[in-house]
Amino acid sequence: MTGAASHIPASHEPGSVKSFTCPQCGGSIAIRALGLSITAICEHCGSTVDVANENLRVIAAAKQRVRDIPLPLGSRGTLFGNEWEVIGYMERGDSSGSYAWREYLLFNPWQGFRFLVESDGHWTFVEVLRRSISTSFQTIFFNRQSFRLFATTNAQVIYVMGEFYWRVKAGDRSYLADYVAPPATLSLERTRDEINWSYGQYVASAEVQQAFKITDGWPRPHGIAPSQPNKYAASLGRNAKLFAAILALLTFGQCLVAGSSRNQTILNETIPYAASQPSRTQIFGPFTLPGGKENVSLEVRAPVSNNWFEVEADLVNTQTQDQYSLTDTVEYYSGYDSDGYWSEGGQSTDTVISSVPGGTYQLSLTPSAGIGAANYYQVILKRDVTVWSNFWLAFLCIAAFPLYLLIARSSFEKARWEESDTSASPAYGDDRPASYDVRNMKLQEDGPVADNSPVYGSYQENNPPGELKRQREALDKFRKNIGATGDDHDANSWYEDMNK
Amino acid sequence: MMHRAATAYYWLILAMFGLAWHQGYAVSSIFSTQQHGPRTSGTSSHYHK
Repeated sequence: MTGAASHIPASHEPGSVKSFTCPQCGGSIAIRALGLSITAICEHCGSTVDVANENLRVIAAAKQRVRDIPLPLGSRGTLFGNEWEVIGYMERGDSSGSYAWREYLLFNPWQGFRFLVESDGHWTFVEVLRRSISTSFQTIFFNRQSFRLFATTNAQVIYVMGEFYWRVKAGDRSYLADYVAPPATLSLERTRDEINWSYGQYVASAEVQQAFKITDGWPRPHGIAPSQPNKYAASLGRNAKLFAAILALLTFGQCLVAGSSRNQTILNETIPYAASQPSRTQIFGPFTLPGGKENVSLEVRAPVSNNWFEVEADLVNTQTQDQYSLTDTVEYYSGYDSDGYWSEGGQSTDTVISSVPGGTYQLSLTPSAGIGAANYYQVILKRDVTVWSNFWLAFLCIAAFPLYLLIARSSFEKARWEESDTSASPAYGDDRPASYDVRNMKLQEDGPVADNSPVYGSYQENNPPGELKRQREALDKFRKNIGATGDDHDANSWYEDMNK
Repeated sequence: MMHRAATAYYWLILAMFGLAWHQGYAVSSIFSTQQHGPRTSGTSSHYHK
């Protein structure tokens, strides 16, 4: 995504589609951004032709066959409110040749040039910035966002097709550094001659496909893109208020439960236990359990130590013979070991029986115990006690979804940053100095970057002096020639105008 | 879509919580040794009708 052009072809009026004859194969080369394009690649033979002057010099003869690409040259689509035409295609890869991505040059006479970058089926809409950004840190603060260094690459152009506003050919090399703040990216690109910064925004694959109305051969996204928005984070944000509101409702409900519970003691008996008569059943009642379907709790206390005490209890409705049976076991053990004092269990246990209808009941108790466990035990029967297990289960069920989103968000970010070749941790706010300084970057090609290559200071003009003015003048001339006036940004008719 | 599903899920949980309260149901009861049914043991003379 380099951007410095230096010459405007003068032989044809900008604003119209013009065709040239390829000096290599004689085929027709259509120039859509006439007056702005410097280089065109013959769609027939693949030769790179300098269209900045009338001589149409061949920069690079064809080495590869012309390819079919998902977004054909000349196709149009509306993205971010503007209609764009694909005028150039470039395939680039890292120096190892193991990874490649595709860049489409877009043109709109009112907006100028943009790029659509496709990598692993993920798309980024990129605009070259008109200023440089000084950095020697792994984090850049730009446009009220904090961008983290994601990857650095020595890239080279593998394949080009269409027209470009700078001189480009297969084999061109550059150094790239990508910083991400999903869904945005900041990319640094350094060649022998210049440094460019560009700002990209992630665009959903389906959105690009729909915009350009492409049906066949569309690359399916796979993996996680560096600038791909974390859908789980967005969902977590949207659900946070709902989660808090539901949790407040649940807490309010539990307060109601606690406030309205009767906690009425129906039976409180201390019963002697004779070891000589174990398993002797005793009957208590009849007594009345008030209300409708409410819970009943049975608490058993026994002064056991390193022993156990068990009670089999039957709560029987004397009218319906409906029976609730349970076994409560009290166990308490303690002692000393190499770690010191330990204990487990307790000297009481409490069991809640659900949904016991009101009525007249009797309680049958059959105790048993270890030798010398206890000589008495206490039984407390209560009606309509406050139940906390329901609250905690509901809390867990409600928290499960945000918890899932938290874990998924973390896993998403982990997967994203596993693709990063920097040592940066995914934690935010890390401003450690990077292990390199972009001002001292070296290209992996034949020799170091020239000492006199331009390096611009903080927030200075990104392109060489005069280049922006040249591009603005060229765009003005282009618009004038297609009959567009003023700030007419509704560019839907410019294609038709161009083809008149 | 996910937000709507989550909303419906949350309301379902709250409804179940309210229903359990209304029916006097305690989740903790499933973790204890309990049985419920017509009386099958003991002698009927133990119980007054």
